Amino acid sequence: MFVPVIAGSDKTTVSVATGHQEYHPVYMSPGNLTNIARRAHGNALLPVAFLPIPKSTPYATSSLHELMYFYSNKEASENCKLPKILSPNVPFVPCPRLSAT
Amino acid sequence: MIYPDLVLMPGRPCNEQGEYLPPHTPPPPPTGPAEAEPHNPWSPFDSRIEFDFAHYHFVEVQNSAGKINKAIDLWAASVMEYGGDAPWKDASELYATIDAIQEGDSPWKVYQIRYQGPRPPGTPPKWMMETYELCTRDSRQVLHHQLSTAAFKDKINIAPYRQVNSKGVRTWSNLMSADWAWKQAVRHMSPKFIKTNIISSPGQDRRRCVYTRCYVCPSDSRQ
Repeated sequence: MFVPVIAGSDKTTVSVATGHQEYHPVYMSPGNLTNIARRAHGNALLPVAFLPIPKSTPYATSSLHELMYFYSNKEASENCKLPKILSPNVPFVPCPRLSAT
Repeated sequence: MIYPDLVLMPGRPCNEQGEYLPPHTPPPPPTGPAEAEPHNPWSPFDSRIEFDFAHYHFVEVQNSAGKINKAIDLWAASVMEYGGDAPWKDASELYATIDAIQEGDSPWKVYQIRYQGPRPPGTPPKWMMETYELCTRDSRQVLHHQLSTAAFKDKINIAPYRQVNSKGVRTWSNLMSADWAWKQAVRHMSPKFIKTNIISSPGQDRRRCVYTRCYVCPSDSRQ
């Protein structure tokens, strides 16, 4: 089955009491779901990662490309530079194309 | 008269071998989370009474740590004469057991990560040198979990499709109805595809268009 993956992050920061860390949550949803299901059901959009926010460096978090590089996992993806978060899907995405808008 | 929208090539469920399933086929039984201790359904608690104790104090009455400590002391005192002991020493141990509960079948893991790209000459920025915690889980398992949600049975498009309204005008509603998804999965016939499904449809001026749909179908995927 062809399963497009919709993933995104928003500006909501998650404050964790221990360590005073802040994170950007990353959510994921299969593109196969209808828009109505995606908005109505809790399972349609699930968190898969919490990205740490490097402090006092806004530009470090602002660039998507930098984040992709930051989280790239060499063992899993070799030259592909697929983010570690998506690396379990590597066998099914033999040649990922990353683009930033 | 209003005609319902016509959906072209909506797709049909198939099994792992690519064979079409009869309509209304029930899903395979859930595999359930991988349990660390298969003989103990109350894991990480040792028994039902321990789970009920934690559920009562933490969820139902939401007792303070001090009151939980007292309840644990009473438990310990009541079984001491038989050589027993309470499962926890204090509330913090009970909290640790609650934190060890595994929700769903995709556990969260924490990775220590740091920037591994090229560094500028001179003193690099602090964030390039520091180690951060990345909290993530198996995104593929999450996708499987989402796709196997029974409530999505009639709210899922298992193949790219095209939709036209009663006037014959193309309409778009979901991601799988758009050109991007169609272009990813639908190609003119090509021998390089592994699994193909040939669909013929009458085209204009008596020609017949033959499309090949490639199902990118992991062998262990579940419909």
